[in-house]
Amino acid sequence: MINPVLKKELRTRMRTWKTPIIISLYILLISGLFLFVFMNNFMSRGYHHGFRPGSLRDIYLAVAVIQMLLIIYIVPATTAGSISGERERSTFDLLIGTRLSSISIILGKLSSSLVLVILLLIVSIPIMSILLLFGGFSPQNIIVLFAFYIVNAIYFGSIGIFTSAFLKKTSTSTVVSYIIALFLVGGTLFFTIILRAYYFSRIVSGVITVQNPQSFYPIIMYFNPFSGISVILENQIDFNIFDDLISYGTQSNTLSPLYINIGVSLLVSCILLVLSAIRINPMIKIKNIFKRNKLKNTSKKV
Amino acid sequence: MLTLNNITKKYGKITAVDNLSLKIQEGQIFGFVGPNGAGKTTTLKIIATLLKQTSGNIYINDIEVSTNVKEVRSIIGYMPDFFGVYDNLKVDEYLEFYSDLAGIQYREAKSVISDLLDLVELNSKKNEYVDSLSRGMKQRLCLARSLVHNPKLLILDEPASGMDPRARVQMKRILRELGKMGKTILISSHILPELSELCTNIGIIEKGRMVESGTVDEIMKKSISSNNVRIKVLDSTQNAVKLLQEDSTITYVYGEDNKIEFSYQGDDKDMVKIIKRLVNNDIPVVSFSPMENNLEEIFMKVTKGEE
Repeated sequence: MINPVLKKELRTRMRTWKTPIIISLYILLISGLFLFVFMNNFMSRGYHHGFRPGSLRDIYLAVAVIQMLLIIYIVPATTAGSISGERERSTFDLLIGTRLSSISIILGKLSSSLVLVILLLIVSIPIMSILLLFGGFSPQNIIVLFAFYIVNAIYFGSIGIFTSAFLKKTSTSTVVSYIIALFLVGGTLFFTIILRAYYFSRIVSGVITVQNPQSFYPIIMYFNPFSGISVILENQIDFNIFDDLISYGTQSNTLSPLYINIGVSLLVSCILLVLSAIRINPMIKIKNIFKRNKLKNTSKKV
Repeated sequence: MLTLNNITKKYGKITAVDNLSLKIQEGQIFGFVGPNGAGKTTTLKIIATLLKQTSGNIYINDIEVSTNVKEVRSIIGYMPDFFGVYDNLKVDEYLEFYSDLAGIQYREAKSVISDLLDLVELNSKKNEYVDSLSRGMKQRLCLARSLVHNPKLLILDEPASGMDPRARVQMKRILRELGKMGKTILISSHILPELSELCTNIGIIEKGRMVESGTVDEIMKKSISSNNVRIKVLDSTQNAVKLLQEDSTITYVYGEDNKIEFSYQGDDKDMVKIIKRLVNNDIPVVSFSPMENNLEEIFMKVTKGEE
């Protein structure tokens, strides 16, 4: 049986103007970007002007990165009000007092956001198929990219749900989830650059000696979704979006950062979703769990 | 059906419910009365598994509530004092959503929803958006929502608050119907005359403590130690008042125009003596009737009204 929360969310969401507007803007942005890059290449006054299938690589790159950014922008907005909105509407008690478990409620809210992402990915298929027809990309390439988007929709959706469960107001929850998203994308990259500069300055000054200075890859970067997508794009179109900024570390398999990034994203998502479920369960208090553990530890010591 | 054993709920240093005990038998309609901030909503929320008590135990059908939440939720129906509705959902879809949450199969849910809409007299509105309904209709819809899984115990927090008189009468009729169906109902309300008409038992709560509980008649008898009588005289009101004031069994006398109200301690024989004395002293008594003690008076006597 379909999750009742998901069913209700889809029913109410699809009846508002918000969803078609989001979908329309999404198509408009992606196709606008596609046209811009395409025209830029096609109409260029250089020696090689005219249609070059190779230029579709640039379009693929631009569409892949922009789609990722759009998902990071849209998903927190759709999940940041999932629980706080119920509180604001005074429907929370009616929802939580039913037989449905709090984790099912949380998963219903998350999956409704995922459905929107899947819908956005589906509407972008016509644009992607042009790349498939003329750009030499395989359907596998697109499937891998879409699967990675879904992982990140779960990741950023969990952040939105987490802030929504812990904060009372939707406006505060939205702001906080965007701050976290911004930190995960820009903040982690910024710290990586700072750490890398510090690391190299220590090598240059002779404080540390390493055989392969390019092996530096800070853990914080695994929390950044672009660490994963950069690996996908490197493998698919041989283009590193971070260029010389970040190397792949010491991993013998260049795909490792992608796997670790996916693992970290899913692990963080699970933790956030479980914490959110505990938070909305009126019969469990997080404080009491810690108190209970403390008491257990003290009684063990005694 | 429902047993509360020494329930206490604390919010930091504030005690909202203080050692409250209560027993409700199956089929009873129990009225929960108390001034604002007395702890009624907190108690109802604890029973409805929406709040965890600081101490004490609750049993519904011999099932311990805090350790069997899911099981308990399937036998209780809760209607909060204030609730919201979802935009963009129609009346039947709203009930369908809650029947889905209760795990009712689609086909069964369809007939249950139709029956419930008949019960709360909203079948003609089933295709309208919930948001467009009046306050009274929303209250009735919420009552129907709390009944989708056919609960044995109904917990209703101020179900008639904010309703106009007609809607209140409708709600009362529905609750009576539910009582006849054998549902056990725990209802909190401020509209005391209606509660006394509707309920089999009453509990009065103040500052989180149960100050009085029992059947409506028991509480009336317990709380009122004197009998109130109203007499009508043709004239000589002042003489009659003077005579009554001389009587040692009479505790209170008030006379205005041709009407006199007084309270006396004693039984019907004492009443006969008082009337006889008035007649023997040439007071032209036209009529006399005992005054009914109402729940409002009892409530005012039992509670101190401090918030």
